[in-house]
Amino acid sequence: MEDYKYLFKIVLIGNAGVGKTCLVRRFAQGVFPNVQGATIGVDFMIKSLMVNDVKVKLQIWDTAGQERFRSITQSYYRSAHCLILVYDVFSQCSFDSLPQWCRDIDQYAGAAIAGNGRNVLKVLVGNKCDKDREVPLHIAEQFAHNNNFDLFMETSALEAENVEKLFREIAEILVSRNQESNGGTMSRSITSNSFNQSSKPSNCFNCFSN
Amino acid sequence: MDAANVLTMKLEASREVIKVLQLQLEATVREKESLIEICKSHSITDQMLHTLAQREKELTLTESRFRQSENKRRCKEELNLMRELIHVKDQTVMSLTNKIYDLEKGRKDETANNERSNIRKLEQDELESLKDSVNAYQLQNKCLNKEIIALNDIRSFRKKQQELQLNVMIGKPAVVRYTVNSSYSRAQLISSNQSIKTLVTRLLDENSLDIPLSWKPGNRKRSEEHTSSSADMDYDELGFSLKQSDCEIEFNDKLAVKSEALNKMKMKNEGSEPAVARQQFEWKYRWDYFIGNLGSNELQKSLELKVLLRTGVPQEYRCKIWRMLINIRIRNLKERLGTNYYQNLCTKSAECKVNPAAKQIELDLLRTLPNNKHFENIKSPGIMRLRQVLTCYSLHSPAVGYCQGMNRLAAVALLFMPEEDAFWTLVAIIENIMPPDYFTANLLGAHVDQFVLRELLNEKMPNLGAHLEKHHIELSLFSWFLTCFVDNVPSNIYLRIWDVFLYEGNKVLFRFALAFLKYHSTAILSMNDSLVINQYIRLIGYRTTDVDHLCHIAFNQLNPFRMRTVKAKRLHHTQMVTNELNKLDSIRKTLPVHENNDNSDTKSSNYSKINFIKFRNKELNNKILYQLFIIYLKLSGENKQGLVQADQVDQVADLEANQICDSLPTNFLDWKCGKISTTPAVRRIAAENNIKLSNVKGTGRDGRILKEDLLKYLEEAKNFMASVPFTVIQRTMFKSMTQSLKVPHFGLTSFIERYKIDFHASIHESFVISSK
Repeated sequence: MEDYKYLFKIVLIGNAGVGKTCLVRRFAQGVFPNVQGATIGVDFMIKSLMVNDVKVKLQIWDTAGQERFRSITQSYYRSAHCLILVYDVFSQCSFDSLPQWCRDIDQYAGAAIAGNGRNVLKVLVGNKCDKDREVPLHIAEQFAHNNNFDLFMETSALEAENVEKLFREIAEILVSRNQESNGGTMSRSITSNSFNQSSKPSNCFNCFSN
Repeated sequence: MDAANVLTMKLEASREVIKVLQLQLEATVREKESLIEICKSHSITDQMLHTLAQREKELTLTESRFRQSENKRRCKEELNLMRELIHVKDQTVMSLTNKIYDLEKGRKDETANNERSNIRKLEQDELESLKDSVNAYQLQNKCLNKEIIALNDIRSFRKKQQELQLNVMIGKPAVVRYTVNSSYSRAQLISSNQSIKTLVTRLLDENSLDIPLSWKPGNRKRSEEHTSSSADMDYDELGFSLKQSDCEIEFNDKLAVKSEALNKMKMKNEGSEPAVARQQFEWKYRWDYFIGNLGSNELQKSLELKVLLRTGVPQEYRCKIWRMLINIRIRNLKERLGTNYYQNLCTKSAECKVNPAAKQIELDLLRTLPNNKHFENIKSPGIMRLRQVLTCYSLHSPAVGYCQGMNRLAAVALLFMPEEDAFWTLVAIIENIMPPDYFTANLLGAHVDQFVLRELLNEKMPNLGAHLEKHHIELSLFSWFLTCFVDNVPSNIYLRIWDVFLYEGNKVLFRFALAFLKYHSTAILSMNDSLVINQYIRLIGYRTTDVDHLCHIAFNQLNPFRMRTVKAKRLHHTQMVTNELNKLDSIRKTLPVHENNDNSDTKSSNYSKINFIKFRNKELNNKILYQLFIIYLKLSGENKQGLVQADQVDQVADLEANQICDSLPTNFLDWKCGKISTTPAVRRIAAENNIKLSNVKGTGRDGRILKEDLLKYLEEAKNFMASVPFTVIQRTMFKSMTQSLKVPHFGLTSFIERYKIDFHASIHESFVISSK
């Protein structure tokens, strides 16, 4: 229908109540929902962007944060181009569970590595930075650095701070990565090879655990 | 004498003349002589004359030559002059052109500047005009909103009027009925004291503080009050905000949906379809009759009740009917647990401070029914009760604890029931209506139902199923199944669903999920973009305006709809999903860091150590380094906490680990580390048979896994496989899924990374060479 050059899937994960849905709605609809029901399962929104005169569509999957929903949400990791791990700067607890999320990403985004021929883009986001913080900025930065996050940002869905910037930068990185991989013959061959090898089983797996 | 004198004087004069003449003569002679002389020299002069002429000629020639040369010289001079002139002119021309260029440049700049400023101006103008139009649109929007609100007001007013009329109409037969009933009941009352007692207890019960949120004594009267008080105009009878912010739907869609709904309302309210009004009246009457007949008796399952419920329960009877429906389901359980069970749970919850579910419950309280006034802030009465109900349930069933979604179930129940009954509703839904394991740790039941739904879709609407499949859309409607449609569906629709759901059970969920899809099937079939379809299905609940039509589809068009088929499908998928979820779980469990709050300290310190080594050298492959670190931990014996398990090395990174392990001493695997203690032989057998040692129970000392244990486990597994014959599809599924876990994810990564390492090695080499 609509013509776009790239379609990127972005999956938001993180503890319950850190503001994933608000972040997505602020970006996709430009509103901050005062009242917002907890996300059950998985929800998604779409937003188009222009990056370097190229039309990019972002399909943003918003997942439920509660532990037991991970059996549902994990299956979305695999097809994602970008995983945004969100924590709440106001809640030390949400920061403390980041290592576990990192383990999950490493484990379940494994197929994404094979499928795209490269690592999934990992982004760490500290939301609610309009509030008094419990998690100091430098510690979070250190964490992002230590865990190979490609991007770290503090945002506020309430005040729309850095939200647009966050997704724009992600889109730019993804576009440039894609252009790179299309240019280099070597990486392309890797992409297509690995994709052929893994496409069938991983699809099958997806259809199962969705 | 005179004459003589004159004569003498004449003589003298003549004498003088003669003398002059003589002199003259002499002179002439002398001249003659000179002339003769001249004549003598005449020839000589001729010659001289000739030469003179010649000389003269030469002279003229030289003169002309001189002149010519002179001319040439002058010409040359002129030429030089001219040249100089030209040069000077050139220079001037150059300077002039330079000047012109400069000037032109300046002018260009100027013009460019002008243009730019013009563009800026234009842009500003445009911006302003855009701003204006935005303002205009906003104004328009406001106007439209106002109009909608006004229409709403008109509609509600008309509705109220209509209702009043209907009430009056109903009143007439009701009066007759009441007189009959009252005389009958009076007789009954007199005849038995028992019924008086029950009546009194019921009255006491209903008048106690613990009343349902939407329940008001004299429902009808209160709702009339309700119309008069303007403050409550924003909320409907159940406390749902009328200004429902379903802004998720795009603006156009929303308008379309709204207008459709308004039209329908108008049609209904204006009575343009008298048949509809009559139906409404008959429906009300049937319910009145039913309730009247029921009196104070318990509800019994009957075909009449089933049919009635499918038409929907009138708002004023919902409290009563729902309570009775729940009671049918949990009567036995309640008897078993004792009358004070809920009160005990309440006291228990007050005493017990540490409840693992409490945090999540607290987090979700305000995210339950955000548009309902009973649940809109932390001090609302609904929130307190909701907290109590959910906490009690988490104590009642620790296996379920609290699962997101249960909050909505409890909240809807609280709208119509007192706190205790809401609790029992939750119990009934989770333990009686829903299949087992619906809300437990891995949501098994909900997963299974997604598969069942897809299969049913393919059977009932093969077109739609194929269409969705074509666009790679996998229906995943967890939010509907876990909340019984409370999520993403308007309240008027889900209350209708609940009416039936509480009586008929979980099959209704499939009926309605499919009915929603069928209701919109033409729209979905006309879409050809997976994103658009996904977007449409996402908000399908809000796009549905005609509840009666939806119910008609659910209960008539989808027939036959047997519980037996649903059960069979569930059974069929349960085994598969269980296996797969267990696999996922076991992968999770083998992960080195597990989310476990009690001993997170030691683990996080270990984790940071991993990080330290893992990321100190970013150039190298993380995974290989990680493996190295695991091995380092093993070799150093530092890891005795079960941080890393031996078989996990095989699992996490077959390739690298094997490569590294090959280069390690052979006794490497003898290291007793991690939770699993066993022998190398057992490990080898396990690896050959692809068995996770964590699943095998050890009988040796300290739970050491012996060879016998493994063989026994193998035997059991074989028996298990033999006892359940797989269908062809199941077998292929099993195969491909096992394969999918074997997909060499890490192998591929390492392939790329190794290239990197080679690259680094080459850089290193070149560096070494150059440094030499």
